[in-house]
Amino acid sequence: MNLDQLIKGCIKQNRQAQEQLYQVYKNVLFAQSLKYCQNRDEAEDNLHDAFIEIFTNIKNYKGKGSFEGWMKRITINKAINRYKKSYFLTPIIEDHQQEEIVTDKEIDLPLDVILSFIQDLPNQYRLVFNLYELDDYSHQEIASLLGISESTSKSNLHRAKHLLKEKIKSKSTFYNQTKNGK
Amino acid sequence: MENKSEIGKAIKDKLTHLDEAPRDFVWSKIEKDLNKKRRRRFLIWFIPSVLLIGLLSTVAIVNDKDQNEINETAKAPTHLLQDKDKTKKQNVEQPKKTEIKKSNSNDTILIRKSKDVKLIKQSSKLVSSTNEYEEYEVTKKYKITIRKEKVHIKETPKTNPTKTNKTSKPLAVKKTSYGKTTSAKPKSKPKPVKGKKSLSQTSKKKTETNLPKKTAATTTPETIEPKVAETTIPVKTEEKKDSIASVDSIPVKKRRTPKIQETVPEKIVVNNPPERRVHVYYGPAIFSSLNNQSLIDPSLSKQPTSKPVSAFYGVYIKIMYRKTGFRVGFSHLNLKTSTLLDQNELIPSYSNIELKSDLSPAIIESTFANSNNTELTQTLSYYELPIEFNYAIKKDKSRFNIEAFGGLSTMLLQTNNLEMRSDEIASRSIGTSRNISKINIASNVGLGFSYELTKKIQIEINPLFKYYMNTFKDDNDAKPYSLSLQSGFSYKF
Repeated sequence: MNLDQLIKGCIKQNRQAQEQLYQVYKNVLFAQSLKYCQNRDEAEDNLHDAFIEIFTNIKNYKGKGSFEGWMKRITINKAINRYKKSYFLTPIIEDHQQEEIVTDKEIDLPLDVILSFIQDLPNQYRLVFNLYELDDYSHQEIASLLGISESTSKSNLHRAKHLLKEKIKSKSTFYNQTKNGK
Repeated sequence: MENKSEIGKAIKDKLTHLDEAPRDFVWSKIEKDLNKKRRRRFLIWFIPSVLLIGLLSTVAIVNDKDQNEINETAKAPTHLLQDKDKTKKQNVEQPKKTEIKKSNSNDTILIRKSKDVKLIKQSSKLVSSTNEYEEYEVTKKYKITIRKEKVHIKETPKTNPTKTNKTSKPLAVKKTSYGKTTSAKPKSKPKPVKGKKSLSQTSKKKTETNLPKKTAATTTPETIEPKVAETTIPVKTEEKKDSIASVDSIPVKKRRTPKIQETVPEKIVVNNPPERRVHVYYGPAIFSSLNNQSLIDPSLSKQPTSKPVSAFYGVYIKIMYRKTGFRVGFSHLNLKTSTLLDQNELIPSYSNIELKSDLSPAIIESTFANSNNTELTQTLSYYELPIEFNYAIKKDKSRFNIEAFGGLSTMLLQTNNLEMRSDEIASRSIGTSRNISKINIASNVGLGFSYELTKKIQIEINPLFKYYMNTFKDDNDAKPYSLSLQSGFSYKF
């Protein structure tokens, strides 16, 4: 079945088509969830919620834009809703500083380690960092999506990067020392 | 020399290679939840359909039962039947079958009259009551069809030719009559039978009294019901000649005894079509949760709530078969509930709130930050299709009637709105509730009080309790209900 047939099958609530669609996109959307959620369990929960929403609202997909993009947006929105509550309860510090730079050597860490750094970020920082850096949203869009001001979005992004850099540097030192020791 | 890159870009590049698969149980869970949704959708249509079928079947059965009762009542009182003379009273024996011997020289032709009696209308009214008696005025209207059929011819040893001519006459009776009983004294022939004397006089008038006693004995058991027999036996002995004559001879006193009461059916059976009414109503409604859980979000459950009064209006058609019936209709129901927010933390969670695109929690917080008595009001309005079963608790000749009714409603969501207001800021719509189902099912229980203004028009007030069973898409502890008062009038058509 091609994508169109899969979509039509899903609109008709055909379970076989739904399962096939899930199998095709589960990894992509799970990766998306992993970046936005705090851990694997939450990412799986988010994936579950996203697919339920996708299957429920697939009739609303009008074919404008890529289908994968549409599903990714649903996944992201689900994750945002999950962490929205805590987002607004955390004090926001508005400070703007220069770019955070890392070297190739410093960033040469296993993928799961880098992922864990992102997942360990406070919710508000993680959301803004992911939206801006990984999914190319503008600060204006982020502000609208999260219900914050643009400057708050910028500030959160900077704080996220700063925290990531510190973690990467400390980890890479330890990691490289371990590697050299071996 | 080391390459340097901006951290965001570096991480993005790294994560493009991220390829993780979720565990297998995720699909099982998705599938289970999809099945649950499908079941819920199915139930939304299945339950009302089954109830509708059940309701219609019940009404059909009740109607059928009523019809049978009418037929039985119509057949039963054949002994009450009187003939065309208009002097006739009830509780007088009238044989359903009469055997007549027609004599022609040595042959006797036996003719059996079989009567098809149908009670058209009957009503009773208590006229007076003493320690000993209760006097009723009973009015009945019958339709009678008499069919003649020849049975056989046989030889008899001795017959009187004159009798034959006389007895064949009454067979011409084709149609009906009604009589007033008990209290009404016979006007046309006010001569009560007094013992054997009067009987023999009647016999003489009819010329031939030399019928063998055997004939009388054979007719009586066929035609008389045991209860009434006690009061009418003396009359029956003469009936083989002319039942009309015997009717007049019934002592009035006898008919006033409590035994008469036994023969008067308690139920007044009226062979009328079901009563159909169209009702229009308008009234107030309040909406809340039985367990005080917030209908908007669980995080607001501890906040005090109020129940603004909203409008409920509609129309329905009611069909009543004697005491039972059903009603179907269409209505519009507005439901509102208000929550007084904590000024320190207005809305703790927005997970169940779909904010308008131009609003954000931060904007809301800042807008209402310095306000007093900030309220969040949820408004839900539905188009309702109720199907209800009615039972008449009090339905008599008085103008005031009471009914109980219960059933289910299928409700289609029309409006889902959340508004905020405070002492300083006028009401502003902030968005919608996410967890509200588009189709709701409600169970209804109520009472109907009506007062008859004219034969066709009634005013009525119906207090109504509704329990909403499918308000939320997801699990929610709240148990929403509403109380309303349908007030309006009905028109009989």
